[in-house]
Amino acid sequence: MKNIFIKPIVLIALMTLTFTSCVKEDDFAIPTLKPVIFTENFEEITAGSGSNEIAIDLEGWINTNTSNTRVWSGKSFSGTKFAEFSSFYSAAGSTDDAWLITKSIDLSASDSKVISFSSVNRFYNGSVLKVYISEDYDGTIPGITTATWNELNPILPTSSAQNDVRVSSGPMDISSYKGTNVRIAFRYQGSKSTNPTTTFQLDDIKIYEN
Amino acid sequence: MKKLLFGILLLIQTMVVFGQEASLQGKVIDSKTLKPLQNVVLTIESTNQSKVSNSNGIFKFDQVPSGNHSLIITYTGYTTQVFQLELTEGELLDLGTVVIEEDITTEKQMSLVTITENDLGDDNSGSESTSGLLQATRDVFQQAAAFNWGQARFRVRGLDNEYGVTMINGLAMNKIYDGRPQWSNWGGLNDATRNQEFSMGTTPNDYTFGNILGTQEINTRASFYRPGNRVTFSGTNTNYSWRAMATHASGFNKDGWAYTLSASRRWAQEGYFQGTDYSANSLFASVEKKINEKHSLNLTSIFAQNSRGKSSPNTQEVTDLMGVDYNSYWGYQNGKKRNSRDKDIQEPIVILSHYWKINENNRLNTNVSYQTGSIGNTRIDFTNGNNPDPTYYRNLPSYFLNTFDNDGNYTPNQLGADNARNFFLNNSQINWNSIYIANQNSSYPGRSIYALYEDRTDDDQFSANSILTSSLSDNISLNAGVSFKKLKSHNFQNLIDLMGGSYYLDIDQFYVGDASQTDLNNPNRQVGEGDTYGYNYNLNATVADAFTQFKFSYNKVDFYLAQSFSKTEYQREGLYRNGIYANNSFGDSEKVNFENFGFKGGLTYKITGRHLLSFNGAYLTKAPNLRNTFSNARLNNNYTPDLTSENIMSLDASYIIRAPKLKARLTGFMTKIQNTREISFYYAENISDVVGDEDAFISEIVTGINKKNIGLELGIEYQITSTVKVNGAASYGQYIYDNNPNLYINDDAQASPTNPNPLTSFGNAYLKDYKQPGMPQQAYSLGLEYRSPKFWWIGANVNYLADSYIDVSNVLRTENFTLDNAGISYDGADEATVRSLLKQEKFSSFTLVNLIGGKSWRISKKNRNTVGIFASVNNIFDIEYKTGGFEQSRKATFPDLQQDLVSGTRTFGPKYFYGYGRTYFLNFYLNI
Repeated sequence: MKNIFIKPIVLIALMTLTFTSCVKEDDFAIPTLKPVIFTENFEEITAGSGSNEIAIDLEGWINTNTSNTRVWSGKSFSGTKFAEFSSFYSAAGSTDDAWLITKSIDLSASDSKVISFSSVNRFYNGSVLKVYISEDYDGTIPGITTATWNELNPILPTSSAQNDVRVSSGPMDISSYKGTNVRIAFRYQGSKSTNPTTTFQLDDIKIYEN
Repeated sequence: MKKLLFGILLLIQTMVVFGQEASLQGKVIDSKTLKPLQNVVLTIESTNQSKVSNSNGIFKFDQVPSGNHSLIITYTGYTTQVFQLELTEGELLDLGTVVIEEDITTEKQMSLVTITENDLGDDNSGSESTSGLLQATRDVFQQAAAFNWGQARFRVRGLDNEYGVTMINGLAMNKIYDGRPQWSNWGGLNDATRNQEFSMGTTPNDYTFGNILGTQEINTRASFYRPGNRVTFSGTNTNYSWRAMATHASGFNKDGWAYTLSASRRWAQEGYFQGTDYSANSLFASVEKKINEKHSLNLTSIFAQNSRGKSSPNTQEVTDLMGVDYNSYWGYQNGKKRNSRDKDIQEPIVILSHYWKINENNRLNTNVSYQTGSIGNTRIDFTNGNNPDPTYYRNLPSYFLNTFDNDGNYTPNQLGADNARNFFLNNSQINWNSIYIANQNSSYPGRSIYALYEDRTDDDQFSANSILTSSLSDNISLNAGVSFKKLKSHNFQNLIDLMGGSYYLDIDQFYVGDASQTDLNNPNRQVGEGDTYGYNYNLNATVADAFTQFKFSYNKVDFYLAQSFSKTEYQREGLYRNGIYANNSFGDSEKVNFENFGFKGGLTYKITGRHLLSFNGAYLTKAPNLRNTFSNARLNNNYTPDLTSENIMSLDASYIIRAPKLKARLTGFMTKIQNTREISFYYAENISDVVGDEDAFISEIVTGINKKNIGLELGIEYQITSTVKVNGAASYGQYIYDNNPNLYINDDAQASPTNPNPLTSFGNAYLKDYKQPGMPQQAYSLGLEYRSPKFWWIGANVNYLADSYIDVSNVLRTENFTLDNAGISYDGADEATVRSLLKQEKFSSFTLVNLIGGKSWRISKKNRNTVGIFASVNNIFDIEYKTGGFEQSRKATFPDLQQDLVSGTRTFGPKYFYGYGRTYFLNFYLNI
């Protein structure tokens, strides 16, 4: 009696043990990925040089100056293009409030994400840049004043000692923003009459999963 | 205590006497010589009692239950015989003379060596099958594994040979350096190493605790050889062409002396692969003196010298241009093929053994051994010259097709590729002539640009052991042993040939100033032929271990328990003060110590004498190999990080049938090897954050690797008629990496006096659920054998092998591959793309058909002398198949790999090893 049972039990146990613990062909680990959700390196824009300023004109982006006429323009240096603004070239006595606002970015798919960009100061004579994030901005120029802007806290060059040094501004955690219509604003505030007139160069904006 | 033990023994004795008892005796002789055979194993199937015949061939069982029994007679190299007996209570059954006959199919062992010695790989890859370990086995499954699947690099349970133990006279022959036996040390001595026992997996072995793959014990005691002479001559088209071998065994003379002598030579001008020359000479002598009934001394000397040209693994691009038997390592010199990568081994062994029969129940065997000699692997060295390798990547078409400018624009150069293709097809071998010319035209007169050198390892090893075998009672036996090994391994670069120059400058061309000096104590040396240069160091190792094992044997169950303890000590002694590591290369390193233990146990339950269940389990720890202990032993004294012992666990369960016509075994197994490590050396790009850093020669150290091997083994043999036998074997396994281990890179270029250990952590290597490479994980065999009573036999088998995988690059599986310097995924590196790029290549499955057969004749009626022939044809249909391969690590980032893939033909694609096509082996032998 005993023999009849022992054999099948052992056999079945062996078989199940082997076949149930099998790994499927495509089940293998891969190194961590930190996919980019949004990126802008300004390489597709047209760059001017010196006083020849060609305004940044990217689809879906807003480039405006709420208190003056000059806006963010494309420049290039050493093979790379970027966005630049400086009050130094503005009309005497004027004040600048130049906004460069990204197109709408969908952040709803990802739980954990950060933003980073790179900053270069030239002829530093005071801080000029603030960075904001908004989930309710409507993409119009009047809308800039009515939208809710939350200020981000990037690492920025803060002295003339850092002139012409590329500073990595980030990464900053923006995981709490899960909107489908999120925009990032880069706001230059300067004054030809009262300073600052620091030249600011913005490049390599990236939002990526962390 | 003694009284109690005596009491128990008496009780057992009494019980036995009360049973219905009979006894049995007989004498075993050889069918050819008609001489008595010693050490024949006789087993009564139903009770599992077993006896061994004495020097007169006589055996006797005293207490066998009366009734019907099967008596099984087994002896290595002889056909197993089964007698059906009826024993009557109180009577002695005398079987008289039992004649057993040599199994002519064991001649196939003669062909096996051609597989195991085919060492295709460099030191970095471990494409070696386990068949060498299994050659003496009688298990149906293991025979298939050795003889049918060995050519395809099958490994039992997916385990490397370092997890098996190969012993000569109880002394482990596994090298301390990499844990593997160096088969060449006794290669070609098939007749002299014929007396073997194999214990599978963790099953008990009388000589050692062993490891988890199995234990092979080769016995070279002179009196154990069957007296006579044997001469064989073989022809084959594998790694050698011809083999001649002669053996003489004397048996004891009246003064108690016995000796066995054997000699062989194997050679080939060119083996299966192009440019692979082969020359091996082997000598063996074993002399025994029986001092008295209790003491015998035996001296064994083995000298096996082996020199052969290696063959290159090739990328798909090269194979497409040149074919699978192409070998880039050779070139013509004065009309002769000269191989630049020779392997020369000569490591003679002397073993003195003492056999002491203390009394009827206790035997003590003590061996001391000394082994010395050298292993050399040659290569071409060069300073300020072009790489002489014809397959150097800049010589191949793909190099011109996978090109990008500095802005990342694709700039294929079709003309350059066509030129490279034409040039390569006309210059596909090493151009020795141009090497000599370059040396003559050296801008520093007399200074060779190219030189041939060898990486030498000169080992001196002293070993000793002592093994006690004790029968504690009729049912309990004890094995206990101690062993000690002391190794001094001298490693250095030896200059062989200046190739027309008069000296070679001993500096490292990739460095400047002090860092370029290989030995600051003797800077800017001009070295000549026979001089040591480059690197020079000793590795010292001391290993001591002890084990005990108790075996219990009863009517329904047998079980055993064993434990071991060992101590290992390693140290490096630098003989050069290297310029890169001025303060930690010369002199002694710190000592590193490991203490290891092992426990194992198992049980066999005999449902009936013919149906058995068997279970084995083991847990042990193992010191890291010497090879994996130093991060760059050639240059400095640094240990690899996280240096701790491996943990090994093994479990198996079997169902066994031992009926007269049907023999079968089904085994399920699970093995976990944890915290193991691997080290490899290669050139890398974009690994040390230096853009375009093309010549970073680095060591990659992966620590904390866990491996899991599970599977089923099946072997069935069925005797259809007395002459026809069918056998089948199957192995279904899954051998995977079970975690994401840690990866470190040692980059000499980043070393400085303030950073003497330039180690960078690359975080995890994401290897979990990748397959362990280099062996088929599925194998099936079906064979048919006809054995004529007129001394001839023929067999055929069909084998299907599948699920063999490439050895993946570890560094490609770290975040260095997917994330850029800012820590963000490279453009385009999404999950689907990364997954498809990193998917492990699975080699095509294949079917191999082998034919095998033999015949023997008696020369005369007067004596029993025979001649015979054995022949086999492997892979009859000349199937082309890959036995292994490895990914190159040079393109270690996502964009680099994308660029290498752009033309469809990779510059740094994987390199592959191929199996033999159709091969034959023909053996003539003469036994007189």
